[in-house]
Amino acid sequence: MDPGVVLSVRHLAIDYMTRRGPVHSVRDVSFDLHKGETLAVIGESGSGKTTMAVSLVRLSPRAARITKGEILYRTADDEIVDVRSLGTEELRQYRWSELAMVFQAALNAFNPVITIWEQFHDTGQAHGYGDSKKIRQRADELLRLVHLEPDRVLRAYPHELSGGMRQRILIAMSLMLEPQVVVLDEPTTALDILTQRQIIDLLGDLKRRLGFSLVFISHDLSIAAELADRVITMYSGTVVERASVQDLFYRPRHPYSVGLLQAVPRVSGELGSVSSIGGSPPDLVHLPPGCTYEPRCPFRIPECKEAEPALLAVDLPDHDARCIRWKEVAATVGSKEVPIAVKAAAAS
Amino acid sequence: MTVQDVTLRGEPLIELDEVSRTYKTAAGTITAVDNVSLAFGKGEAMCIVGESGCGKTTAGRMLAGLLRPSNGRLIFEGNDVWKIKGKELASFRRAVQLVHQDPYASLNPLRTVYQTLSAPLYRHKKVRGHQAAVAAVTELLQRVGLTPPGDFLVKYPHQLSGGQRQRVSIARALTVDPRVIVADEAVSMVDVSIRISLLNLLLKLRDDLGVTIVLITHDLAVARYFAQKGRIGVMYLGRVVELGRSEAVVGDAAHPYSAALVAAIPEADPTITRGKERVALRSAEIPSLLRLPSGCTFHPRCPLAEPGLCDVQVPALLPLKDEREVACHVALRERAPAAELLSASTGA
Repeated sequence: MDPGVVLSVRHLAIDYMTRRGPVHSVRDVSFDLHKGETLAVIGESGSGKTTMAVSLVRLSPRAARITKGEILYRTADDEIVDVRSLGTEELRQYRWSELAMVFQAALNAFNPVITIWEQFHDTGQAHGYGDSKKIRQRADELLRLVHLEPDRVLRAYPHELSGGMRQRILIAMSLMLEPQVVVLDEPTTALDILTQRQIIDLLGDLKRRLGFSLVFISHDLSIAAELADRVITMYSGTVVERASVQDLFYRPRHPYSVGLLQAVPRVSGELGSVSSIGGSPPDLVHLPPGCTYEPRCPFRIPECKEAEPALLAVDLPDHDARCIRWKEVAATVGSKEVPIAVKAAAAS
Repeated sequence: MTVQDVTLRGEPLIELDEVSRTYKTAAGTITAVDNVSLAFGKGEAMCIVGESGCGKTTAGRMLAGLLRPSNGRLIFEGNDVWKIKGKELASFRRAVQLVHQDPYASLNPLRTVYQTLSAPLYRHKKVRGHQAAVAAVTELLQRVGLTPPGDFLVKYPHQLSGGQRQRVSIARALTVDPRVIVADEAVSMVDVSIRISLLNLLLKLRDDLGVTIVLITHDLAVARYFAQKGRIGVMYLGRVVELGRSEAVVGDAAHPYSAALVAAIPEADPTITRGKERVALRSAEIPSLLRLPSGCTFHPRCPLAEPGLCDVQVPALLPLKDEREVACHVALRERAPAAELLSASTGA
């Protein structure tokens, strides 16, 4: 593991056991998270992004089984641990204090019948933060950090707060034990535009001040464009592309990333040629032998059906795509810093 | 695809005329929609955008004739809908159809696609006999892009993807040959990669059948795409604050609230989104509908608010020169209002 890497996921595979047979929900997912880096995992529903994220804190549902791979983590003391082999007590230490997870749907993440103060208190106690006074001090400090008034918020029950406030409280709580890594699942989904903007700005600001590493899962490309340093695109359970944010948005090398970018209309600038991806994702129980995107892919050739390609290094540094046709994609997309929809409009 | 000009021309087909809707709650009376007038032409494709609680769904339900306005009238082809009865009312009911947000909840899980689509055909005597019904359903499925239709006739909703279900919902609305379709967040719950194809389907129905389509959405990018040659109306706390051609409203918002939305929205383009100029609001808090601010309801948050004016006088929705209307004292003063308005006010 490279010294600058804090979290390294290697060849991770997760199946869900169902009556139809195992659902290969996560397949051969590998990525490194560097210290202080913001990594966005983008993909549509069913791409395996949440399943992968939840496995990072070992909170997968009982039907899920990790069949392969490693989740390596470098502690603050520079020790490398495999999250998969942690015992109960070690796992408790690891969660929150090393890696904290903020779940999707801010309402469900709280216990609805206790106040925000009690939620802070429970979390603090469970992780041995100290006495009530110390927890209260920390809660006050954290809530101010996310621009909330502690006296007002701590007395409230979750339902009395707006979605944006709840999301900010969850972010504040996740920082209680100063974790090195924060994982956010769909941090701004279901929030209004102006509230979403506050959360995005808050995350950027907190990261600059506290220097933690951030992984966030989103189906919304625009949040990735806004916050990420690096982006991984997931499709049918696996990573199809890994690149810097600039490369992914202007110089994608996997046809699915290209399709996704062309499917999202923008508010500013030229609209360009916007279009959907035809077809639908494969059945994760009965996967085709070749590339899983092949049936929908405009770049496909007969060889694509033969075997699932590996993540291949492309013509740009630190950039991989799971596509044997990346050169053809590169020839079409080029390297200019122009949005894909605008390039497509120019080409047609 | 090319989109025809779809703004309001000539006599409106359907119109909300100074409608308000109040709800009595335990905490007091709230006004969800406050004195809104909106007219829609034949074959118009229009978007209503706003954040949660702005009254867009309530306005949509009143437009579909499902909710009786507390004040004001719903006018369809010159008739006050809430005064007509019998055959005339039945014909209105057929003429205006709603497509719901959640395709997982709006289809009966125990009915096949054929059963769902043939029921209204039989009920409204559009077909006689099984053969004619199969033929009509087949044609509807083709029209909404579910091909080959034979594959879909016998499917149950759980066997379909979200996008396919939404197509069935649209086909169901089409069974009764509607003149107006109100689509409330109809693409919000489907994957980003196929949203555009659903929007294109709605636009094509408008082109082929001349149906008026009102899309209600919180997503400005979707609104811009859908109404690219049409109009967008922006709602805030129950009122329409800006109404005009899409490129004017999104490209050069006149109302400070619309401008704030456009500035706040993250874009799927790292360079654009990180370089966007922000509109700093004076307050992040959305006022409670129970205690709406005096004058312009946006004044406590508005960067342009002028004491003694904006907190006292309710701004009316008045035309500017570029075929749009805005409800803002400052915008109306700074941007020259339409000439006919000036001449009308001087009595010429």
